[in-house]
Amino acid sequence: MSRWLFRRTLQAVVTFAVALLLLFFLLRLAPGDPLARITGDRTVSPQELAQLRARFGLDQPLPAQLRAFLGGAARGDLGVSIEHYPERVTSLLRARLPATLLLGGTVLLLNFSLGAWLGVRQAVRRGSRFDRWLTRLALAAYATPSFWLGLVLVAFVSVRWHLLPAAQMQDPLLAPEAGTLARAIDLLRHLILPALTLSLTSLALPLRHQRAAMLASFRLDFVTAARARGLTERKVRWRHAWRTTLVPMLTLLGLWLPMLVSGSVFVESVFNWPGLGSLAADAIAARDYPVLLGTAMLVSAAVVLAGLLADLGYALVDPRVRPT
Amino acid sequence: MIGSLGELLRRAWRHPSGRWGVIVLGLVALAALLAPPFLQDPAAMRDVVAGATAPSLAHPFGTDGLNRDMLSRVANGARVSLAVAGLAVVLALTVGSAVGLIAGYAGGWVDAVLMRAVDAALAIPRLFVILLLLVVWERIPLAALIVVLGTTGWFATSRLVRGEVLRLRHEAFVLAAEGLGATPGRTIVRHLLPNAAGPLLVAATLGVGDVILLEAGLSFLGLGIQPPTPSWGGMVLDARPLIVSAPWTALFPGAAIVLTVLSVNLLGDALQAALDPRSA
Amino acid sequence: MLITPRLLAALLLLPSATLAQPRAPDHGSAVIIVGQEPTTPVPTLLGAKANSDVSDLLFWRLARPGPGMVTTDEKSFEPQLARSWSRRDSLTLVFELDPRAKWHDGVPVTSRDVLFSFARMRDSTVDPQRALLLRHLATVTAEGEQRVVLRFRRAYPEQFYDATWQVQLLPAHLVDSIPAERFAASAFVREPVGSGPYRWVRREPGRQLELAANSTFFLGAPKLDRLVFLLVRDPEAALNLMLDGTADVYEGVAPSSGPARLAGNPSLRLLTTPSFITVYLLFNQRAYGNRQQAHPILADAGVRRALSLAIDRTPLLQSAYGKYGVPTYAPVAQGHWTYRLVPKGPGYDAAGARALLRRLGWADSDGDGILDKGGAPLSLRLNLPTTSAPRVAMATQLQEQLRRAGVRIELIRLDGPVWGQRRQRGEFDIDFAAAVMDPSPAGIVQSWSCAGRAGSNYGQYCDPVVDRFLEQAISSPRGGERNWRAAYAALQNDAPAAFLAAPPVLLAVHRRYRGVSLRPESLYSDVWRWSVDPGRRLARDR
Repeated sequence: MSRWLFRRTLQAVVTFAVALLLLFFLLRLAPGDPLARITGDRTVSPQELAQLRARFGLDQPLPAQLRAFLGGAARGDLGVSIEHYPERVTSLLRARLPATLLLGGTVLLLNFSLGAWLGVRQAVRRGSRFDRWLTRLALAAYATPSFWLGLVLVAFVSVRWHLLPAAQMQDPLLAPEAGTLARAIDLLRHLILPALTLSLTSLALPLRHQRAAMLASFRLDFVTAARARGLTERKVRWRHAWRTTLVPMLTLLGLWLPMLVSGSVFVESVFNWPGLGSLAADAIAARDYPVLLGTAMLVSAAVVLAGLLADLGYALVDPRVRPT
Repeated sequence: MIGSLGELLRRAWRHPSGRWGVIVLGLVALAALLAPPFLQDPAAMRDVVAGATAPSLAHPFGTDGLNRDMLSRVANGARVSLAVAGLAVVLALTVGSAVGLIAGYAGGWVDAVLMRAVDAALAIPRLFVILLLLVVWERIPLAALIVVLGTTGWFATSRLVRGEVLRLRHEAFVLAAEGLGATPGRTIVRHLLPNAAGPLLVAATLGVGDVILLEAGLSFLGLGIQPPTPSWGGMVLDARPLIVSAPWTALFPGAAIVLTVLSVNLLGDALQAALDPRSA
Repeated sequence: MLITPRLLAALLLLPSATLAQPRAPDHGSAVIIVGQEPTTPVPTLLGAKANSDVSDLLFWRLARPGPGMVTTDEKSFEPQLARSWSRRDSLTLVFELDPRAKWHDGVPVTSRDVLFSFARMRDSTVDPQRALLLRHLATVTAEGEQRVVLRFRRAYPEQFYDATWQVQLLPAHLVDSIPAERFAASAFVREPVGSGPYRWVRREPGRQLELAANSTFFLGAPKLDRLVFLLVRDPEAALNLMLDGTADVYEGVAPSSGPARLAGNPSLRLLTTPSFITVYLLFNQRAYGNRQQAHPILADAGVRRALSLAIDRTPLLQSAYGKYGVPTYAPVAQGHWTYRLVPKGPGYDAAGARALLRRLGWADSDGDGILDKGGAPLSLRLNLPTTSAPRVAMATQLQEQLRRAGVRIELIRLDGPVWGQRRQRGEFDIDFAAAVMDPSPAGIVQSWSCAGRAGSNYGQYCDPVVDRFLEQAISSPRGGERNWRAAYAALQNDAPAAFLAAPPVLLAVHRRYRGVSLRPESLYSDVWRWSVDPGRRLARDR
């Protein structure tokens, strides 16, 4: 088991390293001088430009640049932001990570719990109107662009009806000495709309997965046996059949994380949620490629890690998968 | 080959959602094809100062912030979206199939290296790859955008094709054919492709939906398709200041995206169900 | 240790003290949305406008220009940290500091602070731009604790303006021990101490910056106890935050669509104030991307004049700014006191434009509707920054207007950074530009004089006659109205650009505020005079 774990971890590290290489070459591939963008509104003197060029290593030959890049990544130094110069990319990422974790975590929780509950119901009522219409609705929501849904929700819920705040993560006037309950409520009020937007537009995935996994589990022998033993339908459903769907749902995590991150770029920018997604969106507008690169690296690492954890969970739960 | 594909499509048609998907998609495609001759030239400016006007007989979808007819803009946007998505998906399928075939046939370290690279590429979210390319590129021509969209979406296809190759390589009939002197090329065309056509078609339809959403998102961020070429995402971006006072300016492009992607996904689902009835 | 225990205790205790007490009925708070982050609102580190807006509330000057912004009239200036002033001779100014003025840590403002601040500002290694503006200042000396004597090298009308506007006072007792090169990273910059009506509270990077009222301010404590500058880059999100009640003040209201959206909300109102912004089409007099050669078409002043004649500004401004369009015919903004001196010029004359072009040898020989001369068509590329909604709105109409005069305009859409880069490199035929100008009309030399060609004179315009007029206007003892008029008329004749608009600032403000006044050169500097209507107080004001 530990040998397998070691090999699997090594595989993950190699995958991440290759991803880093791909990212590096991606930037060098596109035409244009990345540093040229910096001379936007600010007047940058030729000396400052030369300094920056040296700082970003753009005057070095390609192998030296690659070495500097990989070396920096290994040390945890992802360079310096162009727009917020001289702020470091790592400090920017660190500052914005919690907000994205909060939003992403909430959406994950929402989707997996809602998806699980509804998916099981669908499987049980397979072929019924409930089953068919829920699938259609979920697919329609999946086909909805998240930025559009966000705009519509803000326009009506916030601006028209004044029910929830339109943007940001907290009330700017919230006093620093406000109690935890007041803070929590304020945070929740700001969290609802962005979480709802991201959740609805991706619910179809866990829903369908759960449904399919549940249907598959119904066909398993031990479920039929449980029914034959006279256990109530509810017990059969949740205690036996559903348990087997946990593992397939776990594998969905690795698949779904990139989607969640991509969606959050749009949702965070519409709602001005101060997370990694809006950091990426701002970096796009400012052509701040070190920040964009750093974000891509962080997200890739997260995806690889999630895949590794999912595999590990899979192996722990299902002994058949574990190599001896 | 034609027989099995036709059978697949027939089965998809019998599926209620599939039929709906085909119909709506057909309507969208029709609108896209007919757009220029039958509808007003979207680039012609009327009285700009009049701004957005509500839907009426003259303008069934209303007009946008610059008083341009929304119906023709949405229809022309359909052209662009379908063309871009279609070409990008064809490119993705081609590249993915090629890589999958090479990996499956060559085996050994070639296979290992290619699949490792595919794993790594899948770890980076597609949007970020595209963003990194577009951010450094100054003004991206439409063809380059299609290439970017296509070359970022072939990874899953390559896995799929490789899987098919591995599965079929050791099937009896393939061994028999090879024993009779059939070249790998012939084996691919006569045996592998027909079997893989079904899953590839499903992947294609779902891929089109993904690309449409992706392209709309890019246009919304100001990348992607540049004005004055109409694009649905760009229309939603323009409609942002008007969403409360003139909701039709955001409603129709958004609805167009939803309907098109939904119909494509339903079609893909129906094809999937036709291939594997147990998942229905 | 720069921050004394006394200061630390004061800063820590004061916020909780003010918030613990019940507030007077006309007190309140304000959330002000800014589009750019004020990272270093400390004098000598200002850079962007976002920083100076905040620093004007923290750090005061000796005096400031009056509301008319007549920078050449000494008598129109208003006292800030200096209570009064007098003139000993044409080169010497004497300022008497207000003895009540104190720094936020309680230490009085003295002449030592004035001397120190001037020394820092005149140090060209610290802030070269400002040192250049203060080059005519010879000496700054103190006569006692409350009196400062400034001596200039030459007499010129903006002496007083330079003596006061360019220098915000820094506390010598806290800053003089910090060497200039380590100032930007010092603890003082992280928690600035000033003498203005507002004190520093905290900054959350990337989110907001908070100031609190200076309750011991010598001219009366502000009624708005808390000010939060909220960073919202996206104009749509900003407007939504105004409409949903989270924010109270926003200056980035889009003139074309903003007023309509605000009209639906009864608790907000729209204010306008003249700005220092000009919008114009800059003609490149050198070849595209090659400063060594003259431009084949635009080097001819007649052609430039014809282009300007062919533009009908009224519908352009209407579509971009709605009813808030303010035209301009020279590089002068509505906020400048010389705005009224600008001659209206020939205006719109399409037939005249065509006739002029014909006289210059341009004719439509191939019948395609576009004029040509010697085989080359009259075709020009217009660089358009897509980040500016008003300019994008005007671009297509401009294209059409000029096409009717026989000129083909190709729109090159560029996003902000790329557009700026092309402008600096001279890679444009026509540049659709907008400039935020100095409050003083003398700032015109940076972009429109021969000397400016090394700097921000991107079109490489140079006319010694105009330079002479400008010099005379700037140095003329009594404001030089005649000289300014002549300079502007000469500029119009040369047509280095087609000047279009001087759009006002549109500010959305919550209706509950009373005594609201806006200053064009520093929008929020009078916020300390605002108060809240007790009848319209909100929960957040308590």
